[in-house]
Amino acid sequence: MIFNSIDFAIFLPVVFFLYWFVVNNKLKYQNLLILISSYFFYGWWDWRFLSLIVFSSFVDYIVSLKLSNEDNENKRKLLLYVSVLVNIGFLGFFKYFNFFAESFAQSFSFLGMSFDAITLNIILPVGISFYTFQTLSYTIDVYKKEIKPTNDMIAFFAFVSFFPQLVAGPIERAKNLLPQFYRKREFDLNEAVDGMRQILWGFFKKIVIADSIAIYVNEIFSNHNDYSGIIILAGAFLFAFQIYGDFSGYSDIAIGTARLFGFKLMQNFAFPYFSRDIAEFWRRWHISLSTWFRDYVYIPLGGSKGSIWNKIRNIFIIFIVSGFWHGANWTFIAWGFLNALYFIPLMLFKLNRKNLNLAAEGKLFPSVSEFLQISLTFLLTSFAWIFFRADTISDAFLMVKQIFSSSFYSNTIQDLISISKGNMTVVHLSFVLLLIIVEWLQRDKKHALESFHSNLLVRWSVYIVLTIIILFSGEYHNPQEFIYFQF
Amino acid sequence: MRTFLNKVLIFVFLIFIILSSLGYYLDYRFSKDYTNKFNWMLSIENRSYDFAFTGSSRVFNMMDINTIEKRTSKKGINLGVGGGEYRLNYLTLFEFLKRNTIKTLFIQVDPFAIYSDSIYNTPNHDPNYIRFINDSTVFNVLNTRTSKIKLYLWYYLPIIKYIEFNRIYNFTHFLRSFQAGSIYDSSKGTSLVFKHTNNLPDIKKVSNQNIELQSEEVYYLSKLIDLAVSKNITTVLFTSPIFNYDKNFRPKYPDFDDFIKNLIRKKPVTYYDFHDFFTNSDFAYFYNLLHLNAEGTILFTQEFVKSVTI
Repeated sequence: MIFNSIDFAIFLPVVFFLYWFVVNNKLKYQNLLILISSYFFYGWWDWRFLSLIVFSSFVDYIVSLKLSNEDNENKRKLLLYVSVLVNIGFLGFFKYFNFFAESFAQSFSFLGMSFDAITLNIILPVGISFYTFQTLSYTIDVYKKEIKPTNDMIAFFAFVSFFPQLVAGPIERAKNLLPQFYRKREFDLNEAVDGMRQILWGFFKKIVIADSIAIYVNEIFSNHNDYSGIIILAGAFLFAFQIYGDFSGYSDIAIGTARLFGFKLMQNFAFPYFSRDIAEFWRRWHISLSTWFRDYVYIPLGGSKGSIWNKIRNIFIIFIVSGFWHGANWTFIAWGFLNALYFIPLMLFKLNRKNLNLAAEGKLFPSVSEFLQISLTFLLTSFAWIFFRADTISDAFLMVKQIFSSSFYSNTIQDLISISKGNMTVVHLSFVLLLIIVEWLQRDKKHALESFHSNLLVRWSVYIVLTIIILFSGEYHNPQEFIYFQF
Repeated sequence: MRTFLNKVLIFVFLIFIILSSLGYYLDYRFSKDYTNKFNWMLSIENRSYDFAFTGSSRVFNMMDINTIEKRTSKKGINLGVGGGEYRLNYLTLFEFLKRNTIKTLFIQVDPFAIYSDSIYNTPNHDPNYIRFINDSTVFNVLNTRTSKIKLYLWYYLPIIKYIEFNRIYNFTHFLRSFQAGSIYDSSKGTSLVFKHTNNLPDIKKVSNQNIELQSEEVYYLSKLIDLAVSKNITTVLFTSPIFNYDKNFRPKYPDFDDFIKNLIRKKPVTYYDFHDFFTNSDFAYFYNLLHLNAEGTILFTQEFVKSVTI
């Protein structure tokens, strides 16, 4: 089930009604309803893959209970490895089997030998990259004795499968989300109303921004040989907004939906394109994933301690693994590698924690130097997105070559005419501009519609206009899936 | 909780009122968009035509009415639509003949609209006819594709179709609805395509799959002919030029010739076959395997006028 569908529009009010009017008196029943509706939500896509999430939850539930009763360090490590093996094993098989098989076969072709790789017709279970990381973080935290394991099976299973964030995050930590399953949730009007605002803004970003821009991005990236360098660069900029609108839009819908049920999820995006350097960008983009890698990979490797070479090694590992998490393709690895290259100079010159406050804090406009820093950071991240979005690594390099070629400007007008959809392009770009302006003005908030105006009439007019724009922008016959579902 | 539900209900109510009103306004507004061929055809009234053409884009783009009128001094109209199907051609003719008259009707026939592997990708033009669903004929035709509930929803809550088909009823068409007149006024419904191609590669592989007649399209082709005949309109079938038909398409549709023979035996129609009007080296007159460009269309139309009595 996807958020932008009639199915979800029916599912959500039904679950909401049952949650607050039927089972609200008993915590156990609230959790049980969350669990059942989450499995229903996930199974709506393909019920067969429910077995994976159930099995993964069961393994980690048992492993964590056993960890709490085990003092022998070797046995504790063994239990942890069981959890890691099951979760990473599932991920490795469903996501990376074909990649490794094909890469292995290709590597032999360099030696002049060739054979057909055995690849399987494997369907990638939706959300597997997200829920495996979520449940793994629980086991690791129990192993490190940072949290106590739960013996409330329903609460734990509900935590793993919680439907608002099950398929595309935020990747929640047990210490934040699990305790919320131990307390009976009381309806909070302000949380619910602000949750609705956040959902509305999430749909605006996903349907009005991301899905509209997808038309141009798909055209440019699929037919990049036909376009000049400047158009390809424009395609990269547009993809930057597409992926932001898609992913942060999903996160806003997820967080807003969770708030309707009395849950607080972590912020996943903090207006990343207003970052003044790459380090700040990575503190603001897909926060739940980057902090997961920081806490469970980077810090155990030594983090920023040790020799310069260790620090550089750790940065490369973290970004390449992060790239690889996104997909089984060399393009994602290249994207991660490029981001590591961006980050390392900042780390080496100790500039990676320079911009911890907000850009233009307390002011309406950034200074000239801030504006230049923001622009440069956006340019660098957009350039890296070329690798992320390209179908193959050779396509990505071809596009980069076209950008830096002498024909950067050639046929620009004809290219623009051929891509443009007339007035609709003006409308789409206007919405992107609206997004930038609104999010800039609200950059100190958790989401763009939080407390944005004191006048009731103004607020409601904005909600109504946004709703109408969203309804008129939707694709109802072939709705665009969220980009991050493929991860 | 009560306050929250009240707010939600008030919000939903306001949205409903605004959208319902907007729907009726858009019904009026989009009906004035005469760049929409359906609107243009359906707005014509009290006219008498000596001839009319109907069919898909192989009429819409490939039969130049102005050329015929210059050569014959007769008055005509092009009722073809891109991505068209006989079901909609029938519906268009049905409504058109309520307000206008035609003496001779030319219907383009080819395998592409009537076989199951049709290469047309027909967008949904049905919403153009919603305002006529009080007529049971129109309702029944639309009902073959869309449920009754949805048809009534489109009729009584018009905003739903504008939301559902926002790719068709978009901002560009909204703005165009404010323009006076239509390009079709001067072209009489024809849309010439000014495109060229350097080559027309043959289809690489002829599919071995079992290709069947689409019974719905055959049914509406028959109804189209019957409607014209019932109004004493001389009805003529023809096939427009196709590039290298014998190599690219005949093996795929071996039964099409028999289909035409059966049709002209059962119905009071004549048939003209122009599929091989152009030779295999005349790709300069085509912009793809099935469509002539503007030069090709003019040339073909001139020849058509010589060969067929209008």
